[in-house]
Amino acid sequence: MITAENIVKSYHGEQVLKGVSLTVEDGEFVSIMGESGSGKSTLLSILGGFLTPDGGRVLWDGTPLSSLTEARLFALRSTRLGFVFQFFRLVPTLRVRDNMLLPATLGGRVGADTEDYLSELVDRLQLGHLLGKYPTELSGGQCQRVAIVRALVYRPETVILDEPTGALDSGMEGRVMALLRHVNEKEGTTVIQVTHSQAVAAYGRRLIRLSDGEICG
Amino acid sequence: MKLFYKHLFTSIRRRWGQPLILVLTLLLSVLVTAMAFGLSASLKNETALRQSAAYGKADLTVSIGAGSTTRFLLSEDATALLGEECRIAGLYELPLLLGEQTVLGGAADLNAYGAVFPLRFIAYGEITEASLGEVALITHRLAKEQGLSVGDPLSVTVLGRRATYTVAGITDVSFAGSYDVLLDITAVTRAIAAGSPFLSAIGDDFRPAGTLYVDLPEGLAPEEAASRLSASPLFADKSIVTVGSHVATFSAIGTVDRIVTVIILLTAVLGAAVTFCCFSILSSQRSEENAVFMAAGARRLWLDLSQYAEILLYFAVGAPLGLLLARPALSLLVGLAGFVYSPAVLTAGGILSALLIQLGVALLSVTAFLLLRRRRGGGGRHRRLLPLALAAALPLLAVLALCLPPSARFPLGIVSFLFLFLFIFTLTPPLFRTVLRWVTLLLERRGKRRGRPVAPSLYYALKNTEAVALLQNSARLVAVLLSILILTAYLLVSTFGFLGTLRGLFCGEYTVSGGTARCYERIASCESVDRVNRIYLSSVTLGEGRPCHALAADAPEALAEELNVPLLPRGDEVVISGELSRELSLREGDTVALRVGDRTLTLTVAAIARLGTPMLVFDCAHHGIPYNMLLVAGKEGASPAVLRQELAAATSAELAGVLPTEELFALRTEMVEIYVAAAVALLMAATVFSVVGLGDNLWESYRSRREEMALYAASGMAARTVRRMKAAEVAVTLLFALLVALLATVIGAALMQFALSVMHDVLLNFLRY
Repeated sequence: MITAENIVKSYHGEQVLKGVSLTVEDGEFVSIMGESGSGKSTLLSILGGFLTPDGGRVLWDGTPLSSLTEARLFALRSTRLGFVFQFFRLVPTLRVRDNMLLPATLGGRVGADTEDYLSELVDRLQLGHLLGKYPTELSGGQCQRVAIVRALVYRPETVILDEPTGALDSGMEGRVMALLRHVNEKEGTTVIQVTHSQAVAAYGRRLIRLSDGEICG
Repeated sequence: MKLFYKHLFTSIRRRWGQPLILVLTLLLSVLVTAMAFGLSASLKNETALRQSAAYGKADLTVSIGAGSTTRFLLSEDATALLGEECRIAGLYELPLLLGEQTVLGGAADLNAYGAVFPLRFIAYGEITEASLGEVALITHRLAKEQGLSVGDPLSVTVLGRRATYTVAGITDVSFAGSYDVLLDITAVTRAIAAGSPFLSAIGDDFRPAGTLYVDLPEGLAPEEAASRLSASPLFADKSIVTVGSHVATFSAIGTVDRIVTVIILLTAVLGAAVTFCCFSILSSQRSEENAVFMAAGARRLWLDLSQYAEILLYFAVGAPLGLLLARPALSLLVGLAGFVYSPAVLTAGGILSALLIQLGVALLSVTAFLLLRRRRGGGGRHRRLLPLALAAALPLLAVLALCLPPSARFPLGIVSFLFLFLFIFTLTPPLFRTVLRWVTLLLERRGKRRGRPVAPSLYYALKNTEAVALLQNSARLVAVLLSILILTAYLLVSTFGFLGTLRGLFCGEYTVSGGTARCYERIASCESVDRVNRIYLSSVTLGEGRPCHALAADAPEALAEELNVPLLPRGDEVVISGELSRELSLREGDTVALRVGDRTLTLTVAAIARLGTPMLVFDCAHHGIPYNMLLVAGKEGASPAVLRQELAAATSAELAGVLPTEELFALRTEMVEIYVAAAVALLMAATVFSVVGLGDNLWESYRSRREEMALYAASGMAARTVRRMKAAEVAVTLLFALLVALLATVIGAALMQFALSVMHDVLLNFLRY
């Protein structure tokens, strides 16, 4: 369970999040929507422990993220949390396959099981022919799919996705959302996504609306 | 276009790191090249002035040897044969003991000496006819070293006797180009007369000499004078050499030009490598901007031309600064190298050549960069073929070198080295990527077997290094730099080994110069002496102008065992070293011309031995060339101090100088060591900017990947592992560069032989006997 308590965050004197509180239960599929600049991406980064809030706290299963040592925070990212950044953020010096396996390798989870699961995900998202390429050789949509595989391949308990289908065509958008629904239902993975698209948000079971740094519905 | 150049200037202003490195590189390239040309001009000047100092106004020299029937030369005898108009300075070489230090000194009739050798005094005291036998003239160098000034006493041991003289004059340069102390010959004869009733009876009128320097009047040709002297029984067995012949055999000038060529080559290679790497970084920094310009309709040609404009801009800033620094840097170098006659000379031709060479290198580097960048899209095959083509060219060059005569091999050797460095430069990145791929695959497989990752920091460091062009650039830069350093280190070690061989040619603790037959017998009867031999050592010319050293001895045990000469050549026979045999294509039974002074001998190659240096052994006595030294070996267990005392006593009535064998060679190799040090200093200067370039490459490789490093952390990599990964990237890059450099040295083994032969020539030309 992930709990955010009264989160406050400012950039250059401007408050982006104004005391946001929310709870995401294990196995939930939550969609967060809101206008540009409403603080969605900032909230996701704080939930994932990539940003430190100016006020309030985030608890994972009752443990505040701020109390975790650096080593435990790194361990959490490579074992329990899968994160898809808004601009994919692939390591340009690693080939596609290495990028996909990066957190799994760092978490010591590379084995036959992971390899099988990687093949399955690659097949589903039609990335088989790109495994030996570098990210600089891929299109935006391809990079986005690689980032999604990277977040899922080691079966984390929670996946946080920032605009997971922003660069995809409608056909591929459906495949990705079906995959996320599948991991949520079959694997019990908690999914938290930010999106602008009503159709994408509809895949979630709960919708949170964010407006001007506050939850409004 | 205007907009494009405006963008270029803004870009340079904002990202000034690489432009600064390029300006520094061009500054140092021009500086080192101009200094190399300046060194060459200064050395030529110094050599000419040194020769003038060594022979003064003399046209002819007459020297005595150990095999001579007389123990000395008298200038009166030569005057009687050549006429009163001749001015003759007789000089005796005297090793002097100044405390524990041996100093080369000379003794002459000071009045006659001054007539042939112009003296320039820095400080001068009073010398009268009466005080001539009690005064000493010394060089400024010795005065500074010993803290002496005019009027101070100078206590020395001359020919085994302790004597004190008064410093009466300090000159700016050495006497006869070699000696730090000059005594009047009367002072020496008086010292000897104390133990010799014969000399005592003759008195101060006896003015013997070991070498006569003859200044001939106009109208009397040196050859004619030599012929007149040779015809007299008084000079028939003496060595008579025209000064023109001395100067012609001193051919260090060509050697210096070779050194200059090598320095310029190394500077060009390092400068080109740094320029190429800097442009790679600039290109990657500006890739997005350039793509936008291209999308907006900019032509590829504009982009290419802007690169040339950019390098010209850097050159316009760096080159004048380099030239500005060249003069003081050259003065410093010339001072360190011990030039005493010539100041730093920077000619207009040298400056222009330095500018043109470095400008050409800079433009070629940019052209190479542009060609490789253009082919990066579809020309991968060409890039792969380039190192292969270079690899194929190297053995072809080696075969070609074997077909060419030795004199024509130098330019080919230079081209071969250029090819070798180009080969390293082009081969390193693809080879590096391949090796990295194999190692990561290996780590991946081991990781799978174990079920956990093997050394993630190393694994991802390898992956990164495989993909980051800047790290590969660093690898090739280091590979070129290391191969140059390894090569230089090898040459230096070989040089000192070579000098060591030259110092250990003879098997005996002491040498005695000017020792006659009577001196030989006296020494042989000493209790502590095990063996005394007559030996000969001189610089000669073999075949059609190959300088080398010639040795001779009256018994094989006089020569060091390392020379592997069990049987001495007799009659017209000569034993030559393997190097000379290969270079001049000489085999056993072949005949070869040997030029010794003014004489040319025709000898037959009796054997080819592993002498270790370009050297030959011949029977000098058979050709009437006198041995020029005695070699003394003490009995086993004999005290060195006792041996030295006995030798001093045995030679006390002779005009013969005793010198430890090691010191004899050390005194002559001092100049060589100075030149080697100067060459190393120049190389170090060239190395500095490649190290700057390397540091820049490594720093840029991190600066441009900060976001990637953050991604590793975001994916769960611990901060410590990220730090280890960065360190591993540098370690892997440097390790691989070292391996490539070693590989290149192995590949270039044949080239190394060429380099060694050039180096030996350098030494032979500087190391005159």
